[in-house]
Amino acid sequence: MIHQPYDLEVGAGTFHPATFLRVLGPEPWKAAYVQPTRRPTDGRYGENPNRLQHYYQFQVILKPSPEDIQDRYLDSLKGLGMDGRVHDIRFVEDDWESPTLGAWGLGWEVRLNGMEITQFTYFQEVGGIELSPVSVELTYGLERLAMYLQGVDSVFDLKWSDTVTYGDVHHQTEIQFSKHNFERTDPKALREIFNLYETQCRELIKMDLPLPAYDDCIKTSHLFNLLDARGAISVAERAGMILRVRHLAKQCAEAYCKNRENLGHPLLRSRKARTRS
Amino acid sequence: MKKSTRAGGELLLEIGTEEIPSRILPQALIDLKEKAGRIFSEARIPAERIETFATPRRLVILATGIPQKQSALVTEVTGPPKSAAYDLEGKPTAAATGFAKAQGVPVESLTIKKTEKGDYVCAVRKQPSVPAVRILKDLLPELVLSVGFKKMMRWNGEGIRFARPIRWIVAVLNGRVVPFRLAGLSSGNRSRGHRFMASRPFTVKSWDGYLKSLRRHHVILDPAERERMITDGLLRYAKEKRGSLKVDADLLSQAVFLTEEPVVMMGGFDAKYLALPPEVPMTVMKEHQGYFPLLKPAMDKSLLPHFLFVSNVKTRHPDLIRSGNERVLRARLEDARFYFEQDRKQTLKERTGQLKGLVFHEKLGSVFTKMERVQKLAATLARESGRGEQEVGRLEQAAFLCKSDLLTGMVREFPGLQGVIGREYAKLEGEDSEVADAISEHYFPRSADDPHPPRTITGKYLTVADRLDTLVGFFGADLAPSGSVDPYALRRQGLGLVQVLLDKAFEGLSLRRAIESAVRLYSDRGVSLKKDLSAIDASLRPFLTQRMETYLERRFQDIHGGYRVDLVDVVLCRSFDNLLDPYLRLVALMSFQKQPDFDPLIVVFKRASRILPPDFKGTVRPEAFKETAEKELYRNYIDVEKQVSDDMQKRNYSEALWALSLLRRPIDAFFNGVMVMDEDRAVRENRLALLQGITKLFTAFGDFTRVAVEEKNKQ
Repeated sequence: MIHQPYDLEVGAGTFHPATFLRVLGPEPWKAAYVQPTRRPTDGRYGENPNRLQHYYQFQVILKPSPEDIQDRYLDSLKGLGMDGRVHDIRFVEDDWESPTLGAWGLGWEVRLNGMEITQFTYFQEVGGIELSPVSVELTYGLERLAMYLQGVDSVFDLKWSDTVTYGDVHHQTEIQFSKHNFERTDPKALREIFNLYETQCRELIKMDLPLPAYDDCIKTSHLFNLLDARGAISVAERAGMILRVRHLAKQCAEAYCKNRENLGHPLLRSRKARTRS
Repeated sequence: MKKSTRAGGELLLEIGTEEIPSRILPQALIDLKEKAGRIFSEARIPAERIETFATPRRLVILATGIPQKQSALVTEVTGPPKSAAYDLEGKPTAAATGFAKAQGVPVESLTIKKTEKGDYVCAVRKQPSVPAVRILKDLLPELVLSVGFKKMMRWNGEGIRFARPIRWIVAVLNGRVVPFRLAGLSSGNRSRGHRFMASRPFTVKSWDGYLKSLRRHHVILDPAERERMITDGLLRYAKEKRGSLKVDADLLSQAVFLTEEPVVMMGGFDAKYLALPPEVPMTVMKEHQGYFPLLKPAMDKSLLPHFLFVSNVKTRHPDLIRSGNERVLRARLEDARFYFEQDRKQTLKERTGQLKGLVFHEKLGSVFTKMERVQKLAATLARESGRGEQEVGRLEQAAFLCKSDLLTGMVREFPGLQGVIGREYAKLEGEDSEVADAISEHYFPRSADDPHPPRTITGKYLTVADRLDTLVGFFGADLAPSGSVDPYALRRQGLGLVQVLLDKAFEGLSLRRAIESAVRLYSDRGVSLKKDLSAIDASLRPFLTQRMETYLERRFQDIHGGYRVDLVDVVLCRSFDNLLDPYLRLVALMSFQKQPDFDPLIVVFKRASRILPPDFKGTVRPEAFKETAEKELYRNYIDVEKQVSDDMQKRNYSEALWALSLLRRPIDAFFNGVMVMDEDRAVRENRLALLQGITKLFTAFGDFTRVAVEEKNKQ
């Protein structure tokens, strides 16, 4: 299915419940969506042609991972005009780990003529839970692909439409948010909000509401990133905060699994059976 | 890769996979070969020859000379004595039937075996000799799964773990499929070529045919051949551009194991990026992109604006691939240039104050306070060894700047370049060149394998002060490494410290005083350490002695072609306050022990020290010597003693050893000519006093009783 972007600030398409939660448990799932992504520390005030604190990922999540997934993926590149017979396409080791999500997987960064265009990962564990079946995640870097296709060296020169460039849409975003993320946030306030969301997340889990609880978990992750960009997290404090977010992610994952089990894993039943019931 | 011999069976196993990381393939090849050899032998179908090969998409074993059938196995198990196994009528007892049952043979088949202890019942079991193909059916899946990788993954519901998903299996013995199932796949004889250059699978019958088909399908199976292709290509381009090329072994291996049919290509970049510190483009090219940089032929590090890289596809439009790679490099270099320009808006000096915000360790304060301590400690050490104020001034300046690059964008982006970036920025800011060099050198040696300590005197003092401060701090905070747990890599720090302290600059350094100064600087700056000076000293010095042993072992293995732990004991067994001194003694000893006189000298020394009663005390009365042998020994002793104490004072340890060796013959003659244990107490004690004087001469150098030597002359 073609899903839609999640409407919270996330550091990667992986945070979208359509990935993070759906890969848990036995139910099959196949989804693709664009996800606007925020990485406050990557901001460069709009002065760097390749780094952005806000950008777009195209995320594909397939559960279980199909046997011919590499071929299917390469077909998708062909569809974009990137044929492995004339381009040098390589699968280069890149193991993925997200400490805050308690998740890891093995896979590659796919390089097209030396440029990383996709993260290709077989998820092994998410929220501290071993996955069965294994999901495969493809994360396409949309700006990179577009720059390649349009032959431009600066992301801001990308043509978004015939009349509007990427810079027209996002250059101010980069300048203002870089200033905000690096210089203007109030660490004390961020910490307080972090604490509020953390508490609320725990409460929601107790109330057996894993989906809203997970929203709060996403919030804490973004707040952590904002504090990090502000340089407000000391080396000593860092591990502790990561652990707090990870703990929430784990609890959300566990609560979600229980919830799906109580519902009888609806997606395991055939479509017909579900429409009848 | 030789053509296979026809004698015996030829087994070809190809594990077709999704791309296995290039980093782990070389070791996997070694493991696979070793495991195949062991597993085949244990199953009694030993191969005459086993070879393993790999590309990113396949692990391949060729085993030749495999027997058609297992070798026969006859096992004989001895049971109870005959007398207990059969009754008087010769019928088997319960003991016999029980034994036969346990061995899985009919009781009638038991035989009698004569032994020294009498007759015993014996079960002979012949294990059937099964055809190799039937064994391999079970063995090959076991073999595949026996290859362990550090990181393994699951990919389907089979519960199998491997480095990356297995997608096909070819298993052919003498042209016929060895059928088995693994990871949800059936073994077969259909292999695949290059992922992009060849689309159709092909059938495998023999090794020779397999190699040919692979080649036709754009796969060069043998890593050694791919390596040759790559090296040839690299050298060709280097020659064309008159550049010099340092082929990094890891980089080459990476290119070999990332390609099935390598094609070397050349790209270029704008010369404006050559204004960056050369280490920056070098790091981007080598570490981020896996490119081979081209250098100017001169011995310096300056780059040519070209790079070489290895592509996995042969195409008629190489420009597409080249320009793509150039674009990536340009983007990376542009990034670097951005950081460079941002960084240059602030000087290192201005950044130093901001180190207050950077935590060194939560119990040990900020990097700024560390810098202050290092600055003071370095100056103290330098002054104590008589360095002039100008040198001390340079040292203080270098210390003040040495951590500031940690706050630059460039080091955040390229953490491996800490120190290097500091050096380059310091030069651009007009700092003294020795100060600039010391900034990068204070991280030297960079790793346990790095043979390069700092070159400048400023760098030497700075690294010693920095490492000593770190070690004292962590030991003081009770964070010393224990067992395999060394999260702060303190052993590496210690090893580096030892290596630097063996420099002549530190010949006057007192470890005890240096540790004391370092500890005091912590308390002066208001950081209270959990442990006090004596506790820190008591744990840190043995720690450094161990690092010294590690270092000596490595060094002597490399340079002197042999390491003798007993000789290290000779010089390290007692406490020392300076590392250079035992080191110089050891160097002298290592070279002296090669002389034929060495072992006999040790033998007489040991004999002399054995004969001395443990608490013997006596004074030599020269006038009381009567026998020629004792008179001569005494005269020699007097001469040698003067020489040895003079040499030891000047640390002329080779000379001292040589002088000691002059005593060998007189001592021998002494033992042969006189009875030490004379009945006359006065005579006896005078002789013992002489021997004591002699052994003291030896002991002043080291504890020679620790030398391992065969004492053939012992009587």
